[in-house]
Amino acid sequence: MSAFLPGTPAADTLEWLREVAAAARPAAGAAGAADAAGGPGDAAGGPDDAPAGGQPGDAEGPFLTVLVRTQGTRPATLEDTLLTLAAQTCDDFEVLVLVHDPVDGTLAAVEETVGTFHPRFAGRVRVVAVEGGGRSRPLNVGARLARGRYVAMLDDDDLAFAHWVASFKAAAERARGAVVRCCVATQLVRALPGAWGGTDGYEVAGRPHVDYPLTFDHLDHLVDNRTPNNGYAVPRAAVWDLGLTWDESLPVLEDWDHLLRAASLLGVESAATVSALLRAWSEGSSSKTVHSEEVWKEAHRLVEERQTAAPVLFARGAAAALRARAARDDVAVREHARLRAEARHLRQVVDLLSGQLDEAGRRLEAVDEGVVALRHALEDAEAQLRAMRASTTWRLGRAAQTPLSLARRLADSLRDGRAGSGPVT
Amino acid sequence: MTRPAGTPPPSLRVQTVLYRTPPEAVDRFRQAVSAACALARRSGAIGSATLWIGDSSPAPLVGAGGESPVPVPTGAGAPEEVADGLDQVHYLHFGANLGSAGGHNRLFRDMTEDLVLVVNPDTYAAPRLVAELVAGLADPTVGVVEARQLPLEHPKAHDPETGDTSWASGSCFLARAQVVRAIGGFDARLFFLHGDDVDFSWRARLAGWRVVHRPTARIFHDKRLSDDGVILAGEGELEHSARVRVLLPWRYDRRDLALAALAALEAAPDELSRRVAAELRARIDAGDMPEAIDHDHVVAQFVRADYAEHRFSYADP
Repeated sequence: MSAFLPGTPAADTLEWLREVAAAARPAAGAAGAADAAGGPGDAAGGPDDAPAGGQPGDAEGPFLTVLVRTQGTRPATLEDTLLTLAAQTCDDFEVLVLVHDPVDGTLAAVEETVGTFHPRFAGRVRVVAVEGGGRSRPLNVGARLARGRYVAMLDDDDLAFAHWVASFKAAAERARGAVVRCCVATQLVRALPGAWGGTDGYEVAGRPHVDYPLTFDHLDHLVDNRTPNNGYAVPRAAVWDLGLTWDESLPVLEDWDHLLRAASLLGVESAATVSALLRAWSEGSSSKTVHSEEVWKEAHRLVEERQTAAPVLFARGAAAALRARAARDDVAVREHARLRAEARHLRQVVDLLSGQLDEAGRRLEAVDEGVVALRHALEDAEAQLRAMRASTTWRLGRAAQTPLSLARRLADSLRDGRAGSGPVT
Repeated sequence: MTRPAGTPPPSLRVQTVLYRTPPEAVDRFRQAVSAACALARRSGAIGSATLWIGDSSPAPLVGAGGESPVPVPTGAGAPEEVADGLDQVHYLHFGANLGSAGGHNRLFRDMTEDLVLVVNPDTYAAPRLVAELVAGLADPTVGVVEARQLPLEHPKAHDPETGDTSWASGSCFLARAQVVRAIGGFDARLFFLHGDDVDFSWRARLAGWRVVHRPTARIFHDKRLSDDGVILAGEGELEHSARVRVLLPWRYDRRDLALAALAALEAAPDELSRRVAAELRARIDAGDMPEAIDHDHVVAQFVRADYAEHRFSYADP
């Protein structure tokens, strides 16, 4: 994708985007959403605080701020997550570890873990306690404190490949101001409570699968979420200037909702590489298992409803894609009509054949009845023949009786209309 | 690692072998190793720590080349990590591509330390890596401890209770120096890049040592996925991996498997496999194959195309 509205003065673009953004902000009245749009009101920074990193394009800040969302209850996976960040080939980023509603000791434990890393990484990590709010509160707080030109997210069981940051940065350099997206693979893991020297561990239970599309397709994303939260980054300025905060009222799918609104405002540039891993837990705790199917369905419905209610902007090229889809739909419609006509014709054929079958059935029944009658006559004749042959009279006067008997039977048969049905010897 | 009271903590050497590794990657690697050593030293798990960097690249990466160890002065580039975690950093340009096995063997020559961490340069050590690996040696029967790789974990199975595993990946393992000396290091004549770690582990086990996996010892290994989720591998890796499929069963007295693998390579549609097959066939004809060991199949495991039971396969559909 190329830059959004090329040639338009930045200030004009921003003003225009503000107007568009107003329609795409989290639903007014939703719990926490209004606060989120205006800025988190507690913990790390009050509602009137200015964003920590200065203005958009602040040359002092790094390219990226990674918001690591944790409750501090999964130290093993959090350490893994941090390790994959420390190992990035591009170090033009900072990390905010956002500990949501920490309980006694968790904040200190997270800080201690961060402090064990080399200063060149640990020096770029801040640990922040976030109090209250929904699942998205840490992201809104983090975005306010961020100094990076972009913000990306990782949950505390997500992993990044070594080129995760580099792939985002390269995409952002190709399309400044756009949302940048990478492809995320999914891997099944199994919780192993207490297995790691008394602490909770886990093990990988299957190879990673690339189930999400390599590149972003806005139309496909309107149907379902195809980019997990660790698969995209947004310009930090857009979060606050354009109201592109995360909806705290959504218990799940806040990333889908956020990405769709961001995509409409800014467009999406795909890195087209698999650079992050999402863990699917066969047991243990994750949003997939914590929340019921009903919660997911309801969130899905809400996001769909919001998308339906809001104006949606597509990136350059979408018209052609829509035309292609419409053409495909047109073909499908025509094919559907053809198949319907064919079905009608076939139904008529079936009706005709069905009638013929009924008639044939009736005729067959009549034939069957004749066959049965003939069979009975045959049985009668055989019985009579056996009786006659068994009689003494027959045995004694066989020669004399035979012609007489045959003549009688023949006469009986002719009278009953059963000619030829009886035995002839 | 438990030790009698009053005994000083073991000394550690960390060694890696480069081949055309970008300087910034070496720097990142060194930072991580330094931090891991610093933490292990602070906890008393180890005493001194030295990093040895061998280089198989055509041109030297740092300083002058040649066979003499070139200490990297403390303070060169990244003073804090050298001063904190590592007593010394040595750089040695081999002047030839010795491969992984040959390079490590060359570095083993000068080893005076108690423990050696064999680790790839395309890795990033977790802060607790060294301390955790050393803890894995608490049992005196354990000779080699393997780290858990991220983001793509090795699928090899291990005993969930004891950690016992068939072999330790050469991407990152800690070994007692006496194990290295007892078995003579890697077999660089037979293995260049792949299979050397399997063979090293199996010979260590034949010598009576246990090889264990330790999941709390983390190492980031820069492996990546293709667009369809397959681990990306260079042609060199594929070539050496193909060679090992014949050499390893031959060495461990499974000539039936070796010949079957050779036949499969000869029948393979790709040119690389057939080239490797021709080379191996020539070696067999010339009587240039290794002498078989482990006749009773005590340590060697051949499970499908793997050298251990696997929990899953990256080749699964």
